Amino acid sequence: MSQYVFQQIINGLALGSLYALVAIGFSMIYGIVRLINFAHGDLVMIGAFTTLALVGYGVPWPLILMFVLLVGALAGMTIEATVFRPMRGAQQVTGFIATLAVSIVIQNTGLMLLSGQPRNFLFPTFMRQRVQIGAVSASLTDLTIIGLTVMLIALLLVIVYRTRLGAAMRATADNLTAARLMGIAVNRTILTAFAIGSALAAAAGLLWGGKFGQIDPLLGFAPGLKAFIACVIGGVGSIGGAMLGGYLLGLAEVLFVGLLPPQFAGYRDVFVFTLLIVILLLKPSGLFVRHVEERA
Amino acid sequence: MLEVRDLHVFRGATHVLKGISLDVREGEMAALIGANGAGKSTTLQTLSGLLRPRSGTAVFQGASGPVDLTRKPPERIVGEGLVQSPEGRQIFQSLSVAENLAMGAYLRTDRDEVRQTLERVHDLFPILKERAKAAGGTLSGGEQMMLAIGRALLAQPRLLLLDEPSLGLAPQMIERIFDVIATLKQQGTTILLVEQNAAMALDIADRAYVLENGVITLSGTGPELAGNDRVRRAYLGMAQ
Repeated sequence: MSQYVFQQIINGLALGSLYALVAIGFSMIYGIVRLINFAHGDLVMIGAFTTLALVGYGVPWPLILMFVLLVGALAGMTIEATVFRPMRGAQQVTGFIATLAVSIVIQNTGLMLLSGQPRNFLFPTFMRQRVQIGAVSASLTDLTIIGLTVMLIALLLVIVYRTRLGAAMRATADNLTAARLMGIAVNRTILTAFAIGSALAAAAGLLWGGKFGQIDPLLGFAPGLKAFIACVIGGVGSIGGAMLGGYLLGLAEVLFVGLLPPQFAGYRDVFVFTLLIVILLLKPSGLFVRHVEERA
Repeated sequence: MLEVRDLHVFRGATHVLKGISLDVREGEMAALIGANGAGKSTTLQTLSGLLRPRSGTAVFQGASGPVDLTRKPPERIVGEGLVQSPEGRQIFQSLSVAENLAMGAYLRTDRDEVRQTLERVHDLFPILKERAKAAGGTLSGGEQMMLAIGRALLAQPRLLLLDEPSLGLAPQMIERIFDVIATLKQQGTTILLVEQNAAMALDIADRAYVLENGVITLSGTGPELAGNDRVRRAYLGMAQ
C-alpha cells in the first residue's frame, strides 16, 4: 500500500473516531429520551476548552483526560436535570427547540467568557512525530486518537452490555413504562446515559483540539452536525450504528478529498450531505439497523 | 392486603375513574372485569404509581408495612412487592429473554433466592429456558406473555397485577396462561386480574368487581357474578 493511501486511511479513521465518539453519545441520548440533542456538539467545545485550561496549569495528560470526562459528564447531567427533565412528556418539537436553545446559550456564554478569537491548542510536541510501520508511517496524534477512541468505546460497550446499569439503560430505552414497572428509577438511568454520552463528547473535544490545532467557542457546531449524520447513516438510537456511521463518514470524507483531484477538495461537505440524502432515500432506517418486527 | 377507597383519576381532562373502591385479601384471586375503556388499565396504572390520582387512597400491605400507593414512585411500589404485568405484555424487545427476566429481579440483591425464583419460572415456562438467548421481540405472542408473567414473578410479588393476559392470544394459549395463573394462586400468590374475557376470569376468581365507565357497579364472589343476569348478558354473551 502506498504511503499516500495509507496516510489517508489513518487520517479518515482518526476523523471517524472523533465523529464516532460524538455520535455514540448523541445516539444514546436519542435512544433513551427520543430527543435529537442539538446541544450535544457543544460538549465537544466544553471538553476542548477544559483541556486548554488544564494544559495551561501544567496538569499531566492522563489526569486531564479523567478531568475532561468528569466535566463532560457533569455538564451533560446538568443539562438533563435542568432543561430536559422538565420537558419530559412534552411534544417532541418542544424538546427539540429546547436543545437548540441550550446550544445557543452554551455557545454565547462561551463567546462572552472566552471571546470568539480562535486559540492555539497544542498537543505535546512529541505527539507530532511520525511512527514508522513497515514501509509506511502515520502521525502519533492520529494513532493516539484512534487508540484512545477504541479504548473508550470498548469501556462503553462493557458498561452497556455487561453490567446491571447498562441493562437498565437498554431496558429504559427499549420501553420506558415497562422499565418503571420493573422498579428501575428511570430518571437516574436517563441521567447516567446523559453523563456517559456527554463524557464521550468532551473526550472527543480533547482529541479534536489535538487534531486541528485551533479551537473557538463555536467549534461544537460541526461535530454536532456530523454526529447527527453519522447516526442517521448508522441508524438513530443504535450504539453500534452510530459507531460504524461515524467511521464510515470520517473515511468517506477524507477519501473523497484525498483521492479525487484537488480542485474538488472544497466540496467536502457537499459530498457528505449528498451521501446523507442518498442513504436516506435508499435506507431511511439506517444502514446497520436490523429491524425487529413487532409480533402480536 | 390492598384497600382502595374512593379513587378518582383523570387522564388529561377526562375523568376516568370516578371514585372506585375495592379490596384484595391476602392469598385470594380478585378479578376486575369490564368493557374496553371502562378504566381497568387506568386502575392498575394508578396502583403501580404510573398515574397520580386526583383524590382517594390505595393502601397496600407492603414488605415494610402499610404504604399509600398514591404517594409513592413506581420503583418504591415494586420494592414493596406490588408488581404488574402490563397490558400488551410490554416486554423489552431488544433485550434477550434472560435479560428480560433479570430486569424483573432488578431491585433484588439476594442472588441465591433470585436463582431459585428463576428455576421456578423455568419450571412453569420451560420455553423461556430454551430461548434464553433469543431477543424478546422474536418470541411469539404466547411466549411473550409467558415472558411477561415470568418477568413479574422474578420481582417476587406479594401482590401480582395482571393486565389482560388473554389479549390477542389463541384460545389454546389462553387456556395455558390461565392454568398457570391458577397454579400461582394455589402456590399462595395474591393476584388482581384485569380481564375483558369475563368468563375465564370469573371461573377462577374468589372475588370480582365489574367496572363500567369508571364506576364499580357490581361486586361479589366469582360464582355470584357469573350467575348474575346482567353480567351474563353484558359480559358472558348469554341470552336471557
